[in-house]
Amino acid sequence: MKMLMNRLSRFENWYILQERRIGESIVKSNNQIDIVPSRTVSGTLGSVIAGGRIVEVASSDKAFLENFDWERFDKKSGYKIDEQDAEFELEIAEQKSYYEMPVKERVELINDVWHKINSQSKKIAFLKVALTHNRLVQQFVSAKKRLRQDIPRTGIIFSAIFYDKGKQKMIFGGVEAQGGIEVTEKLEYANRIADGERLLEATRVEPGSYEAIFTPEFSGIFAHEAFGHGTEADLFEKGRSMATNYLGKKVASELVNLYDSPSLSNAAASFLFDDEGMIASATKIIDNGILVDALSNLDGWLHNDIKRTANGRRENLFHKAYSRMTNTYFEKGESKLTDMISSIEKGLMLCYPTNGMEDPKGWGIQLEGLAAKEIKGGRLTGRIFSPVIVSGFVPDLLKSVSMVSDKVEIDGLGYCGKGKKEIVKVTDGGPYLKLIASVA
Amino acid sequence: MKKRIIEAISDISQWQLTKKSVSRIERYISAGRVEQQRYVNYTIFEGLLLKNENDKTHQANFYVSADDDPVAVVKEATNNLEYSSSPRWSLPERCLYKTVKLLDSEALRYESLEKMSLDTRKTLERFGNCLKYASGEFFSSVVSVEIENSLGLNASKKYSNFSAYINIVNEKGRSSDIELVIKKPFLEDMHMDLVLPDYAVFAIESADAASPPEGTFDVLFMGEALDTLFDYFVANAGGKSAFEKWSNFKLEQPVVETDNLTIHSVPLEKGFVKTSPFDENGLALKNYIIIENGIFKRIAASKRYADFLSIEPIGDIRCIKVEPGKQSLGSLYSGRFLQLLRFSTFEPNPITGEFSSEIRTGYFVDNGKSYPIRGGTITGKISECFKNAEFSSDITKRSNYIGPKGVRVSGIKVS
Repeated sequence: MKMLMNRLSRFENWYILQERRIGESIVKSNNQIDIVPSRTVSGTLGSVIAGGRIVEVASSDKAFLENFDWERFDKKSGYKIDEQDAEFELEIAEQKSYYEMPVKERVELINDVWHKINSQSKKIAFLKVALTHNRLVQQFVSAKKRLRQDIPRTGIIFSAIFYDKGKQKMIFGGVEAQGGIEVTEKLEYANRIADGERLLEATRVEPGSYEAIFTPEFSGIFAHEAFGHGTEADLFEKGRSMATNYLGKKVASELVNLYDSPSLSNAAASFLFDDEGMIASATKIIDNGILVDALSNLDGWLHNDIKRTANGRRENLFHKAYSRMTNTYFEKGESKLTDMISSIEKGLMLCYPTNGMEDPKGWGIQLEGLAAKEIKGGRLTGRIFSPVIVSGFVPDLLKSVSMVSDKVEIDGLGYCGKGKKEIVKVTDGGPYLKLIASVA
Repeated sequence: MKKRIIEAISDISQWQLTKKSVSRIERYISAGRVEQQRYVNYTIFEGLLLKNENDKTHQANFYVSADDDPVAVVKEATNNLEYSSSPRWSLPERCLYKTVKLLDSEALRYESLEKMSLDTRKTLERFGNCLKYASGEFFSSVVSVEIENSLGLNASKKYSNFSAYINIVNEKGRSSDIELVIKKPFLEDMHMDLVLPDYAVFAIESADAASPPEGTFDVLFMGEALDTLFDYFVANAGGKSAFEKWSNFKLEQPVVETDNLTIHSVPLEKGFVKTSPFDENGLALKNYIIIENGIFKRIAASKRYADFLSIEPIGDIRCIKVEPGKQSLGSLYSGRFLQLLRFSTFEPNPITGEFSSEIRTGYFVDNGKSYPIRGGTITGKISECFKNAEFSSDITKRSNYIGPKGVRVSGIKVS
C-alpha cells in the first residue's frame, strides 16, 4: 500500500480502496444440498482525478497498480475538493457468528427450515431454501482519510413452486440483514406459503384503474423505482433525469416522505462509508411531497449543484462507482391498515413484488407482482389475482397517495442494477400506502 | 499459485480447477466530456471437488484470489464435502474441441474505445439538435480461461468482448431516454453507424408517441424484444428444469400448438458473445436442434444435470438459432397489430410462461399506417400466444440470437 500511496500522492486528488468480499450459500432443494462459496473478489483500486477526468486502475495484483504508468496523467485535478480529516472504523457484530457455527450445524439449520416450509403445503412440487452469508471488508485511504469497515450480512431465502391439476405457480420470500445467524430467526413463511398455494386458483385481474393498497414490500419497490433512480445525480448532467426540473417542487401528496439511508441500523445495504470514501448519512429525497434532494457519487456531485451524499457505489472494486441507492423507504404515516382497507369500496391490495423498472427521464414506472388481493365493501374478499403489473406516470401515483400506515417494514432481499448491469445490494420498504393505480 | 492449489487438491478423487484472467479497459463519456477511464485486471481460481459414494455425490466449490492461502481454502472446501449431497455425477472426461474464432487483436487497445466513441458521436450528429448524446460507456476485454480436471481434461480459450452502452435523450414533447446496448466479440461487428440511427428515430418519434389502444392484438416482436422472447423455451428445455420437475416440456411432445417453431442451440456459431467450444466444466459443445417443428427433441443439460437425468450431456443453451419462416417481414405487416421493439423488461415467467411488460418503444399499425406508441402494458402467456406464431424469412443476428427479424404472435392483451 505504501508504494502505491507514494505513486498516487503526486495527484491533487487520489484515494486507494482495498476490498475483500467473501461469503457462502448453503442451498437445500428437493434432492440436493450444495455448499457454494461466493465468488471471492479481492483487490486494490487506485483512483485519481487527472485533468478533469477520473482515472482508475483496479487489480487483484498490487504490482500491476504500482507499476502502472500513472505519470502520463495530469496531476492537477481540475476541481477544488475540500475534504475533512477523518479516521473511522466500523465492525458490525454478529450475535451468533456465522462461521463459528460448524458447517454441520449450518446444514442442519437449512434442512430444518426446508422441512418446516415443505410441511406447510402438500402442493409444493419444488422447494429451494438458501442460507446466505456475505462479508465485505474495505479499507479506504486518501490524503486525509483512513477508513475501514467490516460488514457481515446473513440471510435465508426460499422459493417454492406449487403444482396442482396441471397448473404451476411460484412464490418466494426470506429475510436478510447485517449480522450473523441470529438474522435467520426473523424468517416468516406461513402466510406466504398459504398465499402461494392460493395463487393456483388465481385469475388475471380486469385491467383498469383501481383504489389500491401497496403492502410495505410493494411500497418499497415503488420507492426504489419511482424516485430512487430518478434522483441518482449522475443522470442529471447527462440530461437523463426529469428530477432536475423538479427539485424544490411538488411531486407527491404531502403525506409522502421518502428517504435513502446507508446508515439505517442493521439494514442489509448499510455501511460506514461508500465506495468513494464518503461517510454515510440519511438523505431525505421527498419532504411532505416536495422533491428536495438527490443521491450523488463523486463525479455526479462535481458536475451538479447538489450536496454530496454517500451514494457512490460499485458492484465491486473492478467496477465504476455510480450514484446508487442504499436503503430506500417511505416514512411512516398515521393511518391504521384496517382503516385503509375499510375505506375502499372496490379495489386491490398489491403483494409480493417481483420486478420493477425505472424511467427517470419519462417518469414512467412498471412494477410487477405475484398477487393482488381483492377488496370489496371495505373487506378483503379472499379472491386473488396473479400475476399483476402496475404501470403509469410516477407523479400521478405519488400525488394520489391518500393514506399512509403507521409502521415501516424494510425488505432486505433486494438487488439493483444500473440500466442493465452493475448489480449492488439494496433494500427498500415503507408503510402500507393507499393510492390510485393502473393495474393489469 | 496454480501448482500450489493442484498439490492441495490432488488427494481428492475428482477435481476441477479453472483459472480465469480478465483484462478490461473502459471509457465513459458524459454529456460530451470524458468522465472516466479505467483499467481492470484480475485473476481468480475456481475449484470444484467431487467425492462419489454409492448413488450420491458430495460436492464442494472454492475460490482462490491473490491474497488467499490456497491450502487453507482447499481444506475448508474439503471439510464441506461430506455435508453436501446430490444424485451421483462425474466430471467430463478429456475431449476434443472444435476450433472457433473468439479473439480479436483489436481488443484492449484504447484506440478501439475511442473509435467506438467517435463513431457514436458522428452518427448522432447527423440528427442535429433533435437529440442529445447523453452518455456512452465503451468497454473492451480479453478473458483467458484454462480448465483442467483429475480425469485429464484440459481446455483453454481466450476470447474478446466489445460492448457499448449508449443513452440518447430527446427533450422535445414527451421526453425520453433510450439506451442502446451492443455487445460483440469483434470490433468489426460493432456497427454503431448501422444500429444507432434506428434508436435515434425511436427517440425522435417517442416525443409524439401515444398510449397504445386497449384490447387484444397480434404483436410483431422485433429488435430488442427478440432478445428474451424465447427465454421460456430455453429455460424449459434445460436440464435444470427437467431435474427440478418444473419443466412444461416432454420429449417428443409439442411444446406449443404450432408446428413452425424450430430452435437450435448454437454454441459454436461465430460472433456471439457466448460462443464457446466448451462449457464451464470443459464439456465439448456442439450445435443441436432442441425444438423441431414445435416438438421437443432434446434436453440441453450440463454434465451434472445430464448425469442426474441419465441423458447425454450437450451443455446448457448459450446462444440460439430460430428457424426463419417462409414469409417476408413485409408480409407480416397486415391488418391491425402492434409492432413492439423495446420494453421496460420482458421476462416471461419460466414456470408459467406468463408475462406482463410495459411498452417503451413500439408502433400501432392499422392498415399500413404506423403510429408511434409508448407506455401501456401487454399481458399474456407464451404457450397461448405462440399458437399461431408467424416467423419472417428475413433474419437478424443479435448478441446471442440469430433468427427471424420479426415474430408475429396473437392474442396479447394490451391495457
